[in-house]
Amino acid sequence: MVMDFGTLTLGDHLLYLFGTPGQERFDFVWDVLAEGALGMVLLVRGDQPGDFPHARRQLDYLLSRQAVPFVVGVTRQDQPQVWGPDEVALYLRQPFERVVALNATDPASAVQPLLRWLELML
Amino acid sequence: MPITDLLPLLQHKDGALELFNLDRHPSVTLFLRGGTLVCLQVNGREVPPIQARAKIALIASLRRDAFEFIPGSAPRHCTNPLGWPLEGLLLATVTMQDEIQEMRDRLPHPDTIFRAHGDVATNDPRLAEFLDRARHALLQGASARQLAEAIGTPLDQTRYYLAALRQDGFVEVVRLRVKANARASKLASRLLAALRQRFGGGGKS
Repeated sequence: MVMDFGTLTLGDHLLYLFGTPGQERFDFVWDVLAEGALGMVLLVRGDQPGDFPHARRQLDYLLSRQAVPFVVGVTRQDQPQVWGPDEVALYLRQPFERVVALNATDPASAVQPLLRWLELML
Repeated sequence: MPITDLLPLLQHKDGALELFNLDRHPSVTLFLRGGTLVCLQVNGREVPPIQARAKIALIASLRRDAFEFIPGSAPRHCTNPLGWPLEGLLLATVTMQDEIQEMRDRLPHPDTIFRAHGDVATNDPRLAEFLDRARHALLQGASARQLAEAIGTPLDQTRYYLAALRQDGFVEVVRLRVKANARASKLASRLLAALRQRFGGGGKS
């Protein structure tokens, strides 16, 4: 099983970042990670709308079971044919402010979901 | 012979069709009269309508079974006579199986929790039967897996019903609310300041 892990030091705080695959056979990991988590970012490829139903199913599953602050990041915004955050928010039936556009290859853009997540927690 | 081929042959016969040697499933008896399914029994016990539909779907999906038709046989008692025309029943069964197959990627996760809005009613007889049995649990909030176990319907079929009910606005996915937390808010404020300092307020996406 592949799982990403990293840390991010912000001021006096060390954040633990866990990345988990989206395939349903890993759903037991989603629960383990979401329980007690400070927040959750669901990344969806904006240029692959065929994955949106799966993203919606995953988000529905998690939000119905865990009370965790979240945002959705729509990646690949540097691509010519890509879905924007508002369109994805409508599809996922989520408030617009919960869905953020980003280009994961640009650090300044990649940090957008974290910024939005923290702003929404204030 | 698949049940989808067998039942039309028995369209004009009255009696009991016993199906046995079903893969990991007890024998099922269908009582037919005047081109309708009157009663369905599993191991000699009558099952409610929602389970009867599920059994028909299950039998239709099996590749191996054996059957015996006993002309003239009728159930000793049938609490809730079904009265389902065989032709319509087969059509509905096959249609639902096709839809489940086609919607597989869009069916909800088995453990996603749904809740029904108050007093809901639907004209679709399949959904109405499901709602009748699931209403109490759905008012509290329940997943497809919990409902399938409680009602005795196959999991995929239960997910299909929930997807259809959601589509029609009768149920919605439960959203657990994050409680306002002064401590978390304070922490978020500090983290946000540090993140902005580090990334210069974040770039344009």
